[in-house]
Amino acid sequence: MFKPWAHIQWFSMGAGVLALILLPSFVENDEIRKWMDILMVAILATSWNFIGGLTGYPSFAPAAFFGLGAYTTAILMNAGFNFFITLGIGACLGALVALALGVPILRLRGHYFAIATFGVAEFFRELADNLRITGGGDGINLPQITGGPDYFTRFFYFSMLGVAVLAVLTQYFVTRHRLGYGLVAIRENEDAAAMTGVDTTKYKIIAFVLSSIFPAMGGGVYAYRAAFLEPIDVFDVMFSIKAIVMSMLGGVGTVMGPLVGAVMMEYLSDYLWGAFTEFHSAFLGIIIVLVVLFIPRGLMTLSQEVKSRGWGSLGLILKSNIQRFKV
Amino acid sequence: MSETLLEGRGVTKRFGGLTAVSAVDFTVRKGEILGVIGPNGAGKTTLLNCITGLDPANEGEILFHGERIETMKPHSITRMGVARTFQIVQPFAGLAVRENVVMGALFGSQKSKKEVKRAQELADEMLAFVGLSDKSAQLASQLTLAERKRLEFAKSLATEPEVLLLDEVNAGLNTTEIENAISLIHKVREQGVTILVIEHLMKVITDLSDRVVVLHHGEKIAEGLPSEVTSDEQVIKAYLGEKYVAMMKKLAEES
Amino acid sequence: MVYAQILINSILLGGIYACIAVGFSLVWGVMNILNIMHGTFLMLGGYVTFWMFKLYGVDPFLSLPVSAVTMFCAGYVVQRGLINKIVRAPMFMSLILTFGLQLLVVRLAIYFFTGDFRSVQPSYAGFSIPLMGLSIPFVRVSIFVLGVVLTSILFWFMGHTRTGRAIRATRMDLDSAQLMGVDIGRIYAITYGIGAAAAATSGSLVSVGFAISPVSDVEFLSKSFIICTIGGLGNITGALAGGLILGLAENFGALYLGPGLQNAIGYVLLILVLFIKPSGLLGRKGFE
Ligand SMILES: Nc1ncnc2c1ncn2[C@@H]1O[C@H](COP(=O)(O)OP(=O)(O)OP(=O)(O)O)[C@@H](O)[C@H]1O
Ligand SMILES: [Mg+2]
Repeated sequence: MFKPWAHIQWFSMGAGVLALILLPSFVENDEIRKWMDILMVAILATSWNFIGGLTGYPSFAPAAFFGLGAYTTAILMNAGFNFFITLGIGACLGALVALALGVPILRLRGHYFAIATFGVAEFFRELADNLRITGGGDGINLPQITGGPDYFTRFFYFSMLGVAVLAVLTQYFVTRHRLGYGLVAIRENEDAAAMTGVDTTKYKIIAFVLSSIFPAMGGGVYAYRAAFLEPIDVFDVMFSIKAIVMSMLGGVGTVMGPLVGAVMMEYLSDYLWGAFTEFHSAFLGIIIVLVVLFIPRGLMTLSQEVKSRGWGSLGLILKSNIQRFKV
Repeated sequence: MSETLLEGRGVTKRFGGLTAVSAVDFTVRKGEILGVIGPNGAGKTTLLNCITGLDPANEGEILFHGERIETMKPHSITRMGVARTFQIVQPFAGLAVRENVVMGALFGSQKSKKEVKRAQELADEMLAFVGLSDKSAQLASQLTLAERKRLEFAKSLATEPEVLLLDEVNAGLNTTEIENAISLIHKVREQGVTILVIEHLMKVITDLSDRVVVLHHGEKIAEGLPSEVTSDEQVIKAYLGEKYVAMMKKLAEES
Repeated sequence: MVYAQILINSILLGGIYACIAVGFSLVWGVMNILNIMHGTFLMLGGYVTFWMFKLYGVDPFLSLPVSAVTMFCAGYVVQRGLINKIVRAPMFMSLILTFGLQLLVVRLAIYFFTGDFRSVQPSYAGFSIPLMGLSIPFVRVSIFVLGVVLTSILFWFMGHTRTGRAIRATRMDLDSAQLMGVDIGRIYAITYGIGAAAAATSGSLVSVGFAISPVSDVEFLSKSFIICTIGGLGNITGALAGGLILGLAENFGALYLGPGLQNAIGYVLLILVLFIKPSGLLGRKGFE
């Protein structure tokens, strides 16, 4: 049977990846760097979607795994390991830690789960601040990459792109596999999911592990590029927040949503207030408030609604969004 | 007499000081419809929660096909072939009706591990069976109560159970809806599924069941054929209170 | 002797912690909102006291009512105008919304107040009361006493006034409270306002004994997380117990493990309690 939808999706995904691969051939290093940042946030958002979007467990752990990956790469590269091998080890370490933490943490629900994940990230930061192996609060240097700016800008860009593609592809397959269905069932009603035969404990842990692997790898790339790490830079709750907000902006629980959200947000913010770097977080705050109030189900859903009801109804849709949950 | 499929021995469940289910023995035989009745708070739902592992029993054994299941996790019990519906319906509210049923088909009985496509086909069959085909694209949250109860049915049937535990599938429905539900239950039994049905309405239980178990304050106070149980004085007392029994006796004497 | 001194310090610290957490606990318990703005209100309250002292020489303990009233109003408006719009959405939405507000307000605070740490230094700042060879800092004792008194007033209010009872009714069951004619929107706004006022008061107290800056809000917020998780939600004993336990753990932890890990201890405690008893040591079951 011919299913045009599936083909269109594959086609647009392929086209998108191709465009991103070709991008460095056409633009300046500055622009490449900007896209590298977009990809980094996209990795975080897509990964958050496994646990927060599909499974419905609001995790604040992305920063924990991002920092874990960053420090893994820093420490191992200083010990003479190859960069890509450190990414692999970082991913494995992230997965292991997620597994170990997931067993107890995922028994919690709601706010308690959110706080526990937040506590984990903060605890990691305190550790990094105090351990000798991480250089403590003074931070840690990494080996400098050799080669000219043209080379290393592209090197980091393609490393980031590789991780991002991996994350999105994984997400794509998960949502089409029984695993994805099981996660959504847990989000919608955990007891009912168990009663239909979903091994909820196992599935939640898988989702948590998946959501930790790619941030750890992204953290590794970030570390090598930054060449210097401080605990407060990488175990920054803002990484978690960005992951969450980008997912929401694009559409929680959808494959492309987090990606769309990350691109829109980073790009728009650059145009609108690129000049006011100092107020970046204030603008992010305003965006968060607006998204939560007016487009809580994300741009992807909004665009579908607008498509089916026409642009004229945009105001009505936004108005009904803000009235849905009021008292 | 046919073989025993599901069996409980001394099943006890306490909530703090309250014993909601107290040393209850029961057997469900292959192919039958067993009715469980009892007034509000008798412990019927709690008994189902023990059987399905959602709220495990404190004491006693529960056997399915002779295998102990009382310490198993809910999903394992479901996969062995025990399905249930909830008294307070528990749909995946944000998903389409069809998707709700797909979940049951995907994760239920593991005799044939299904992939998404096969599960969707099975879900469509189940929706046709319960008469919800025309609603399959709607959100579960948009259904009426009667439809949600049927969805609950389809969802649990999609797990391909050997035993189906039904918790008050008729509560809140009108007479026609109840008749439909009853004929649906009969249809399910004809497919070879064994059924344990919890009911409030005497009338329904006598129409439906082969045997009846009566719970009161967590204890089993009677068991037998519907006709035997409904004329049992203790049962009538439990249901309607002492006064009513005295009144009936007086009426009988007068006539 | 050193133990006795640490014990006293811990208790004084614990009392302040309890006071810091109480508004957070109220908002969480009644509306199921994890209020990220809590630390922000606290910080703003501290600045009210700081500026009133710096500009007009008002004694910090006298500016408490000003800081409480201004932040009550701010909180009322925030809840009425924004949070009420999404209060029935999945709980996670209100968390993110208050986070967005926090980012905005903290950024503005840095702009207006600079990121420097400030502390109110009244003439009696250095006094301490000698007692059986121990030294008990006067300011901290006053903060402790005031904190406990204000917290008790809050709980008296919750139990014995019309508004307090309405708040508790909505916490039990939103829909039936609405049916009984309670104006939920208003009650929620008042509750949030009280939470903000409690935060601001403790912020004012903290600005005397400690130092504040616009970014220290996160620190106080995490303390509130930890205290409420340890003690459980929605009761004064829980907040007090949580505060004391945290104060003791931090001070004795610093003694044995070195001062660097003082904050880490709180998080370890938080995670341990969540694993052992997710509803908090003194909390009831049933709240999410
Ligand atoms: N989770 C629980 N915690 C405490 N008590 C409970 C719990 N679940 C049920 N109970 C109590 O156990 C008793 C039995 O309840 P159960 O729901 O099993 O009754 P039921 O027979 O299903 O009644 P109904 O006809 O109203 O559905 C009741 O007194 C109820 O209050
Ligand atoms: Mg019941």
